[in-house]
Amino acid sequence: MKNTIYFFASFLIMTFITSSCGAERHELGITFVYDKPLGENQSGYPNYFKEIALPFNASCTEESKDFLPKPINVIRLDINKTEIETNAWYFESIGDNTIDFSTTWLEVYFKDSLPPAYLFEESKGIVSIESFIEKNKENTFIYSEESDLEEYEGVKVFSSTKKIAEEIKGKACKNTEGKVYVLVNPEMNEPPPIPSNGIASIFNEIGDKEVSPDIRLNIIDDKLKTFTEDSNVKEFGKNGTLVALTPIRDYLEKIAFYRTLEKIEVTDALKNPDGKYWEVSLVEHHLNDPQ
Amino acid sequence: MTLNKIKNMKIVSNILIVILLFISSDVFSQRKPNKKELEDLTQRAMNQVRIFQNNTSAIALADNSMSTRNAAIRTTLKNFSKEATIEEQGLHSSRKKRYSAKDYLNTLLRRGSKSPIVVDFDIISKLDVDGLKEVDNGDGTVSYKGKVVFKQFYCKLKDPSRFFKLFETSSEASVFKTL
Repeated sequence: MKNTIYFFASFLIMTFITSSCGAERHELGITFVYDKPLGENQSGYPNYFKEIALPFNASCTEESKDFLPKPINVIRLDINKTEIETNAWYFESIGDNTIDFSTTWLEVYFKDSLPPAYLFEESKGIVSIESFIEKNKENTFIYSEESDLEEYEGVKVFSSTKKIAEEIKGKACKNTEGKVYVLVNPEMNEPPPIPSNGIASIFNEIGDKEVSPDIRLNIIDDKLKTFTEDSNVKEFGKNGTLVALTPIRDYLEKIAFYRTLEKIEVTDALKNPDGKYWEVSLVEHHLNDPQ
Repeated sequence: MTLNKIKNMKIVSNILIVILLFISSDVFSQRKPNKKELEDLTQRAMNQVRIFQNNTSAIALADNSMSTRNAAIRTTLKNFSKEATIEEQGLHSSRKKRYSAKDYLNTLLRRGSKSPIVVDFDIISKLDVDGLKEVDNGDGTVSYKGKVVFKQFYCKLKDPSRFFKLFETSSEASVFKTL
């Protein structure tokens, strides 16, 4: 009898310890956002679903919390911008949704199920992802299998599903909205590649005295894609002292009328993670300059 | 159109233009620039004159599109202070007319639209760092005043096959200010 009491007492204590050590469980919805249909060759769910949309445990300020990716939605921005919930959580009523249990069932679902037909529908128009990013910047991540960008419109770009999952996990504790958006392979207006002979060639092309100002002015808008909107040019004299700080557009419009430029020498160029330059330091060399 | 070609044409009139270029710089803060800084600013002031010359030609040249000519006006005006003036005088006349920089450039645009004009320049006297005069602005800032003299050759084409008018002009003055 005494042993029986000890057994039940131990069982109760073990149960209490086990339940008190269990992490608090939270739902963190994940919405995969598309600006075009999934490719025709894609039959099942793409692999990134089962690599990104999985439960995890994160250490928040004073406790660890379990986060379940629930619900898992998809949006097609080029159709109607309506979120559609997948059936990924069809199993939720058949067991305790611990991290291990949910992970197993979600992996099975993404491996054996078909994505909603909605994801394959024909596009209904060209869409700009920029406005979507602007509204949801705080909780949006970009997954791109092809882009080399590190950032786009202030949002981090990932080419690795592992890294994007880590980023979502790292920010989960502070996510007050309870959901994240993953933009998948969006069309991004990437700056034109920097010419092989460097950023200086942009300035020297616009300052080329052999070309008419009409033509040179016409290429400025295209060249500006390489720079941030508030980019500045620092002009230095031959002695290396700063003589002017000019907004990039004003500077390019100025040199488009040059008739004596020999060359522009870029001494420093600072760029953002998105590859756009925000400050360029340079020295102008003109014909008949004093040496 | 090269300067020599223009010089060989018949000079009908001569115009004097006085240009006040105010090139401000916030490079210096409550201190006088050193010699190297002044040399660089002097060189930039010369470049401002060069911008005026290049852009004036582009404004007058009707071969350029109107958007290009307007862009040239916009760009040129960024090199002037609001108080800058341009004075025009005919070679055979004592009458002078003073314009704001904006008015002068728009006048040139209109003239060029009526009949083709070619403008070119010859710098007579460059801005030299040793020739700069320091001016105390009384507000803790210092200005440096210098002078550039150049002739402006102004050719107006009456008959598309030939230039009939050539104005010879000169100009002076470049001022830049340090804070």
